[in-house]
Parts: sequence; structure tokens; C-alpha cells
Amino acid sequence: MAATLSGARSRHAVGQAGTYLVVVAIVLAVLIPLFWMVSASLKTQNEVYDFAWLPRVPQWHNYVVGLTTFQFGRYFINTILVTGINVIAGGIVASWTAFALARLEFPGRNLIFALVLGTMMLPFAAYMIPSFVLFRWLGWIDTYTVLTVPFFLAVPGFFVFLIRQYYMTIPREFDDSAKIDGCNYFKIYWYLLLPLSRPALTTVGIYIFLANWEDLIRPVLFINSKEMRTVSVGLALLSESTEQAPEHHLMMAVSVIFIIVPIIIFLMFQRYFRQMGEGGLDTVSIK
Amino acid sequence: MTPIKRQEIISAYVFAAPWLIGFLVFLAGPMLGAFVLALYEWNGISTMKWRGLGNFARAFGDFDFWQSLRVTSSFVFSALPARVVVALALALLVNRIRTNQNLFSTIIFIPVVIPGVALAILFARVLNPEVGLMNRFLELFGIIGPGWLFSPQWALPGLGLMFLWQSGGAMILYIIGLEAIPGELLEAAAIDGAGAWRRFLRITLPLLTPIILFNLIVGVIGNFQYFAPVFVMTQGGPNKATLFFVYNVYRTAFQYFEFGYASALTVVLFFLIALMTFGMLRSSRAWVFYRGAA
Repeated sequence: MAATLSGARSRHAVGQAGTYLVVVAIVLAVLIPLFWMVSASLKTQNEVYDFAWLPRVPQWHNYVVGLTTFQFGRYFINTILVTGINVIAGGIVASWTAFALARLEFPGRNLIFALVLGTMMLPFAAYMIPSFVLFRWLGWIDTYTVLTVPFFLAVPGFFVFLIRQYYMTIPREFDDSAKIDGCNYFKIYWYLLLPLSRPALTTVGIYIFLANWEDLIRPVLFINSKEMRTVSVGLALLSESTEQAPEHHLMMAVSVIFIIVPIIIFLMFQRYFRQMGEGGLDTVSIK
Repeated sequence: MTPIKRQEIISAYVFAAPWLIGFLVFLAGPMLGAFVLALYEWNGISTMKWRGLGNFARAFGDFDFWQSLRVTSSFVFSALPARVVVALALALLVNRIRTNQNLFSTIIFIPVVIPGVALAILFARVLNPEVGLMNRFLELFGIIGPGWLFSPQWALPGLGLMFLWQSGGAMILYIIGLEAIPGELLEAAAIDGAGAWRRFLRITLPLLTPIILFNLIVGVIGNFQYFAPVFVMTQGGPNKATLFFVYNVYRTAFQYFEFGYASALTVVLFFLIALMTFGMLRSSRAWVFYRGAA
């Protein structure tokens, strides 16, 4: 009996070590390409086409040159502005709609909730061509308006849903006692639900940030002038012309800055990503 | 109607108004517009010409349309299930480890937050046949790597590898799912003599099926919107080997200026996604296990 137990234990230890090795290999498979990219961003124009793991002398000024030569400084400002507006305004619109759906009785509520869920299945590509025609007619092409207003007003239903689910977990007795104290619905929203739903709002904010930070198709379709480009468009167009413009090292430097921002956000707000996952699963089981 | 009730209804519409307006103007309107445009021939500038269902008939005989369907569905049927398997395997592995679980799952998640364009630029380099990491790695095993994005056969698998590199998002979901499985259930099965494999097949896997369903639905919709990597890395090539659905629509509308025909393609996209989502939800009754429902 003792022999089999210790046998099982040592087999278990071997299993642990094996699992550990595999996981470490996978972690390396994630980190090595990233490391290689950072290293490429520090190489000279000639070195960048070699495989070498490290640059001979790290060219830190690549970062400064990258941001200035191709107007990437401006592109970053555009991306930050658009993303910032959409995070704030999108969060507000989503939380208002969620409040109506979670807390108020009104004719058409079920229909609106169905629309919120239905839009989650509707990809932008399905209506991108008439959108372009509409925005051209409105004179919105090449403006910040086109990258913000349509996004935050028609904020993706998933975010409305996520906040609504969170509101549902806040006991209604809170509202009732506030009502007895003479609060109207706007006060209940502002002083009660909004402060209590901070985790859900943060989650939604992070995801609106990520979606807008990387968005390519909207700016590709709706932006023509160089000055209005976002970083995604700037990088995409630069990389397409790599044959003519051998500034691969600068492109890598810009890419590293572009990547590092969402990674920092992710590391800071890690626990909210879990919440998002759980929210996603909720949407399936509601069917 | 009591004044209190009326106040509630008015408040509700005030709160819901911004989204409703946004929905009508920027979503429902353009979506309807797509159905209308699909019936016309239009280059975006001159007057529209009525074509009826002609655009759909044209799609039927259009090689590029079928090619874009082939490319997208082959990705849906290979890369997507592969990601489900990889993500599940990652979750099981990370879940088995005693120390540094969080550190490892955090690192594996990082690729998910990398912007699409930057990821594409990175992988164009990784998959470069001469100086890329991938072929250098294969060389260690004496394998001469393929031309990846330069080869009609290997371009799509190359994009598949990039897709798998981002399995961390799905992995987190499976980790959540694994943690929710009651330990007593697995212990009871073990006492009854069920081996590890049997416990996985009979308990763990069924309890994870809601997550698999979620992954598949989100994945199918995502694959039908696959754009940034194609735009940056391959432009649909080589030899149309990576002509994904949305890239083909984009090309048709904004490079060839066939707004009507491209809209017809997006109408097809609309119905394809509706049909597949519906199909998956419908089939889920047979294979998705909801706790408490049985």
C-alpha cells in the first residue's frame, strides 16, 4: 500500500514537472516574437533585415524618429482623441440605455432589449457601404465626428447588455427607499446605480478602448487626408509600401509604442477581463 | 395613467433615446440601405441603375465571391476548431499547475490585446521565409520552412498560426469554466473508479460546452469580419489564397467602385451570419449541457 502511494506521488511529481515544461514552452512562444520585435525596433536600417537577436548598438532614437518622420505623432493624437471620446461617451450612452432596460417599466422595453441583443450578431461589414454613403452625404468624411458619433450613439449592444446585467444584481430596495426620499429616476441613476456599477463601467470602458485603439476598417473607409489618419491606418499603409520605403526599423518602433499602451492597460485592469468573459458567457445562456 | 407611471415612461425614453437614435440612424438605416443598394448598379457617383436581383445572379457566377466564401469557410472549419482545442488544452495545462498560474495565464493572454495591424506587421516578419523566426525555428528540427505568405498553399495556414497565437482570450474563459466545476463531482467520479480521461470526457467537457458554443459563435462572426491581417499582410493574395469575405467586399466597393454589387455581397453576409448563428444555437440543444437544465 505504501509503495503504491509513493509511486503515485512520484508519478504525480513527474506529471507536474512535465506540465510545467509545456507551459513554459508556450509562454516562450508568446514572449519570443515580442522580444524579437522590440529588438528589431532598436536596430539600424541595415541590421533590421538580419535575423540577429540583438542590435549591435541599440538605436533608441528610432522611437523619436519614427514618431516624427511619418507624422505618427499626429496619428497618435488622433487615435487617443477618438478612443478617449468613445470610451467616455460610449460608456455614458451604454449605461443610460442599460438603466432604462434594467430599472424602468415602459412599452417597448422588450423590443429594445431584443434589438440590443440582436445588434451583437450584426457585423459592421454588413452595413459599411451605406454608412459610407450616409457619411459622405453628411459631409463627415475626414472628421473626428465620423469616427466617434456613430460609434458612441450606436454603442455595441454587448456593452449595454453587460451593464444591464450588473444593474440587475443591485437590489431594487435601494431604488425604492430613494424614491420614498423623493429621488426621481435621474437622481437614482446618478447617485445610486452609477457609483455602484463602477466595475461594470470599467470593464466596458476597457473594451471600448481596445476596440477603438485598434480599429482599422472605419478609418480606412472614412478618412482620406493624411492628417486625420489613426495609428492603425498609418501603420497599415506604411507596411503596404515597404518595398519603396525601407524604414522597417522605424515601423517596428512605432508598432512597439502602439502595442505597449493596450498591454499596460491590460496589466493594470486584469481582473476586469475575467468579468468580461463571464458577461460574454451570460449572453449565450440567456437564449 | 397615473402621473407616477407617466413619469417613469418619459424617463425611460429619455434614458434610451441616445442609443435608439444611434441605432436607427447609424445601424438600422444603413442596414436597410444595404438591402436597397443591393438591387441597383451604382459606382457611388453617377445615377443608380435598377438591377433587381441581377447582382445576386452575378454573385452566383462570380469566381471571387465563391473564392472568398471558400477561404473564409476553410478558416472557420480549421483555424476556429483548432483554437477551441488549443485554448482548452492551455486552460487544462495552466489549471494543473500549482504555482505562478496567474503569471502564466496573464502572459498567454497578452497577444489578445495587441492591435490587429501591429500583430499583422509582427507576423509578416515572423513568417518571412528567409529571416523570419518561424522558419529559423523549423530549421532547428531540420525542416525547410515553406514560403508562408508568399505561397498560395501556405498563406492561409500562416494566418491560422497567427490566429492560434491569440488563443489566450478563449483560454481565460475555459479557466473560468474549469474553476466553476465542483471538486466533489470529480472526486466522486474518481472514487467510483473513473480514470482521468473518462472524467474529462464525462464531466469536465460537458460542463464546458456552453463556453465552446460561445467561442464558436463569436469566432464565426469574427472570421466573417476578418480584415486587418488581409489588408496589411496579403491583400487577398497570393493568387487569391487569402481573399477573405470582407476583404473581397471592401475591394469590390472601394477599389472597383461597385457599390451595388458589393452591397449585394453584404446582404449575403448578413443572411449567412444569421443562418449560422441560428444553426449553432439550434444545434446547441443537442450538444450543449446547461447545469440545472437537465
